Order: sequence, then structure tokens, then C-alpha cells
Amino acid sequence: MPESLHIFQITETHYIVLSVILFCIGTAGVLIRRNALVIFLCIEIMLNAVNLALVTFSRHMDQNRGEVFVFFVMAVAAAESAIGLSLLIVLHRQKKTVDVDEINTLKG
Amino acid sequence: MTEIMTDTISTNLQTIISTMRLGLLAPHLIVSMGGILLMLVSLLKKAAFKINAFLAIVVLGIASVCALNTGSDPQTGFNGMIKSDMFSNVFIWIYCATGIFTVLISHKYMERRKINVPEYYSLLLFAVSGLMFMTSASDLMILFVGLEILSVSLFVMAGIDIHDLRSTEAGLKYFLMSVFASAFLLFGIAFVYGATGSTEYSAIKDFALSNSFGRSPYLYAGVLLVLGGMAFKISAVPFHMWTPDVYQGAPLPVTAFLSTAPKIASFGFLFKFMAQFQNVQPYPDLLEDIVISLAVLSMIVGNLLALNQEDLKRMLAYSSITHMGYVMTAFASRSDTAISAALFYFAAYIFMNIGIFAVIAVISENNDKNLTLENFRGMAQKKPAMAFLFMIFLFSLAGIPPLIGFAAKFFVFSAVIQSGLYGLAVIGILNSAVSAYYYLRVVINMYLKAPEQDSGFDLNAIKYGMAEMLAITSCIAAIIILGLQPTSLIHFFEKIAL
Repeated sequence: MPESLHIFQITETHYIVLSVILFCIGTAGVLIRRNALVIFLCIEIMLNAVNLALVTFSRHMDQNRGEVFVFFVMAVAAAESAIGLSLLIVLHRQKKTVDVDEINTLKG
Repeated sequence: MTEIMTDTISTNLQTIISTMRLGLLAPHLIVSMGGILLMLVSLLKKAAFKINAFLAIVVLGIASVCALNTGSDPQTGFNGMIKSDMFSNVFIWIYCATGIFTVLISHKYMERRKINVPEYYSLLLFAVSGLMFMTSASDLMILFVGLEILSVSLFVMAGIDIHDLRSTEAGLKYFLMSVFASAFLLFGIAFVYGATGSTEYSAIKDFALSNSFGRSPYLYAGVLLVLGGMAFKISAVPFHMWTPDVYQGAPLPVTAFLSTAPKIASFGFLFKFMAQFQNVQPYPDLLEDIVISLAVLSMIVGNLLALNQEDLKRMLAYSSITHMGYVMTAFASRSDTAISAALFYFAAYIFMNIGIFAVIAVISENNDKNLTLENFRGMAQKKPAMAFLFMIFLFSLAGIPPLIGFAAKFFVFSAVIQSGLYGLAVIGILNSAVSAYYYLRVVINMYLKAPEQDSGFDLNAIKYGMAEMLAITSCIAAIIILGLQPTSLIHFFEKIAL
């Protein structure tokens, strides 16, 4: 590799920074967006940021515990999306909207 | 060649199975197998709802007996992922008791509201097995899986009434907020893993003892994120926003379950996890400050929001936030006495909270609207016995001696004082006095106000089944007997070391 390209070498830190950025994008999305489906997508971005961090740490320490954990996270995320989407469908049948600002029957 | 391979595979399998020690998971496996069995019984269609209720109680009973069997010595299994000791056994008993009480108060209520889906009990059992995994875990991976088994079941249970918009809304809100919090918890676990190279509690402890927090920002950030994610599950202020909505919208028995067991399990995990950092020198100030401020905020904000609440379920939601604030003070004081006091508080909290929800489930017969405090006007004249029982539960929640609520608060605050956190104890006791106001408001409505004529809410129509009465009477008995004789139970809890 030419000497001048050394600054572009990608280390673990880069992956962790990317993961933190993705996590923040997801968090911001959850707080800003009002569509329940988009909020759910943003949460998935957060979970994938976690996966990235786990894989990075796992690679860095040369063990596979983190990579196994990623499979757990993925399986759980799949189960959660099944439940979440079905709840959304039930809600949409009754209310014809998935906007969280309009879902306000409960308050006091 | 193939024979050698099969030989090595079988010896490998044998070693794997011998390190697993399935016996440690007996209660967990029984409950989750029971959940699957109930799913199959649900196919019977007709009497399935009744059969499942009965089977659920049997399964939970067997599981709690099995917890006796694992013994009091700490044992680890599954390559250190599961640790079974007296601490986790006590929690298993608490979950089984909560589960049984929930089944008892569910049956009639669910039938009345025509949400008698037999799978409900199966979900309840899955939730209980998730709870058990949360406190038996000695590895963050198992904790996460247990937490999600619990959460996924609870989303469905909260939204089980698909014809009622409130229930669906509660389910969806709980889902979105809970998954959001799980992401924070997971990010924290990832950082802890990155810092320590392991997800096992013991390895995390070794790492924390040899490298202090200050030298490992990843561990620091990770523990804070885990704490934040769990504070959400406990619904400590400022992570409490979902609580009143979900409590109000979910069916009553589900609310009763939701307000007790998951919070207790989250605290159980926090006690077990943070005990690993007990001897870390210096203990990080920021961590201690955050726990103390969570406790203070939960007590004060929970109380203030409950003061003017007209809806009974929302009032109880805010009051549960306050109660978890009291336990948080015990958590902040980081001593063994505080842990036994917290265990006593959990036991007391279950009887008080399940009992009060059982009474409300009986009262809200045929009532599709939200119960407000006005609905209780003149209840003492129409239903003196029910009003009296309701009053005892309210008094116990308010912490009036000689009921169990008083003993529980006494133990918690004396443990806090023993650890030298005087300010925290004073704030707690003052809040306990303030909370009496909104509990007594209900009592005043019942006893001193004239009944409303056209409230559209007929108190005379109240009928109750055997199961509900059984739940209420056993809660009342526990509240009074343990309130008068708390010493034997607290001595039992004091022997439990982490």
C-alpha cells in the first residue's frame, strides 16, 4: 500500500464510530418521525448499529462470542417485527392511520 | 473414519450435556413447555379457555415446587450462563405467585369482555419463563433473550383485545417504547462486551476489579446504557412516559401482571449485575449520582402526577412509579440489608398491587369505560364488604401500619439510613406521606361522599367469581399476617447472599 494511503486505513475505531453514528440516526428518527412504521424502521437501524458494534468487537478480540450474539439479536428482531407489524395492522383496521400523534385515545 | 467421527461427536455431545446441567433450568423448562402444551390445548376450541386456566395454575405450581429442589447452594450451569441460587429461587417463587394470581383474576374478566382467547394463558406462561431467565442469567446474552421472551409476550397480552382501540393502542405504544429501550440496553451490552471481552458477569467483575471504571470508557458507557435501558423497564422517571398509557389501555389482569413481575425482574437483574461492581475502587460517582437521581425523580414526579389523577388506573400507574422509586433508594444504597429489604418490598408489592387490581377487576363488571374516582362515590353503602377490602389495599399501599406496606417501607428506609444516605431516606419518607393523599381520596369517595345517581355505573351489579375471591382473600391474608409478623420473612431474605 502506498505511504500516502495510510491515513485511509480502516481500523476498529472507524467501525465503532460508524456504529455510534448509525445508532444516533436511529434514535433521532424515533424521536422526530411520527409514522409508527418509520419509527419501527429507525429502531431496526439502531439494532443493526448494535450488531455492527458487536461484530467489530468480536473481530477485534478474535473470538466469536459477539458474532453469536448478533444471531440472537437478529432472531429477536425478527420476532419483534412480526408482533409489531401485526399490532400495526390491527390498529390500522380500527383507526385508518399509523400516525402516532393521532393515536391518542389514552390520555389524562 | 466415519466411526471415529461419530465417536468424537458423541463424546463431545456428552461433555456438552454434562456441562449443561438441565436440572438448574427445571422451573424455566416446565413453564415454557407448559406454554407450548397450552398452545396445543387451545386447538380444542370449546372449553379450552377454562382448561388452560386450570393447567396454567398447575404448571406454575409445579415450577415453584421445582425451584425448591435446586437447593440453596449457588450452582452454575451452561458454561456459566445460568446461575441458580437462593436469590434466583426467591424470584422464581415471586413470578409463579404473580402468574397464579393473574390467572385467578383473569378468567372471569376476560370472559366478560369477550377476549377469552385460550392462547392468553400460554402467553402468560411464556412471559413467566422469560422473567425466570432474566434473574437466573449470569450472562448478558441470556438476560437479553429472557427479556425479549418476556417483552414479546407482553406486547400481545397488552394488545389482546383487538376490538378495543385502547388495548391495541396500549400494545403498540408498549411495543415501540420497549423495543426502543431494548436497543439502548443492547448497545450497552455491546460496549460492556467490547471493554471486557465477555458477556459473563464473573468475567465482567474480574475486568472491573483489575481495571477501574475510569480507565475503561467503554465499560462506563456500557453500564450506563444498560442502566438506562433497565430504568425504562422499571419505568423510573424520566423513562416513565409509556406507563400510564399502557396501564390504562391494557386489560386489567394484564395491567396487574405488567405492573408487578417485569419491574421486579428488571430490579432483580440490576441487583445481580451491579453487585459485580460492588468492590470496584473507586466506585464511579456518576453512576451513584444517576441511581440516586432516578430514585428521587421517580418518587417525586410519580407522586405529583398521581395527586390530581381522576382515572383510577392512571393513578395506580403513577403510584407504581413512586413505589419503584422507593425500591430504587434501596438499590442506591448498595448493601446486603438493602437487597433483603428490596426483596421484602417485592413480596409486599405483589400482594398489594395484585390485590387492588383484583378488586378493580371485580368492580369494573360490564364497564367498558375508564374507571374514575367519581365512580367510587358511596360504594361503602352499596357494597360494604368490597369497599372495606379495597380500603385495606389502599391503606397498605399508603404504608399505614400494621399492614405489610408499612413494614416494607420501614425495612427499605432503615436500610437506606444504615448506608448513610440520610437525605434520600428523608425524601422517601416525605413522599410516602404525600402519597397517602391520593390513596385516601379514594377512601373518602367510598365512605364519605353520597352515591351519584346517574353515573351510568351500577355498583349494585357487582358479582364475583370464586377465583377472584380466592385471589383477594389470599392477598388480604398475606397483607395482614405478614404486616403483623414481618420478622420471619425478612430473616429469611437476610440469609440470601448475592
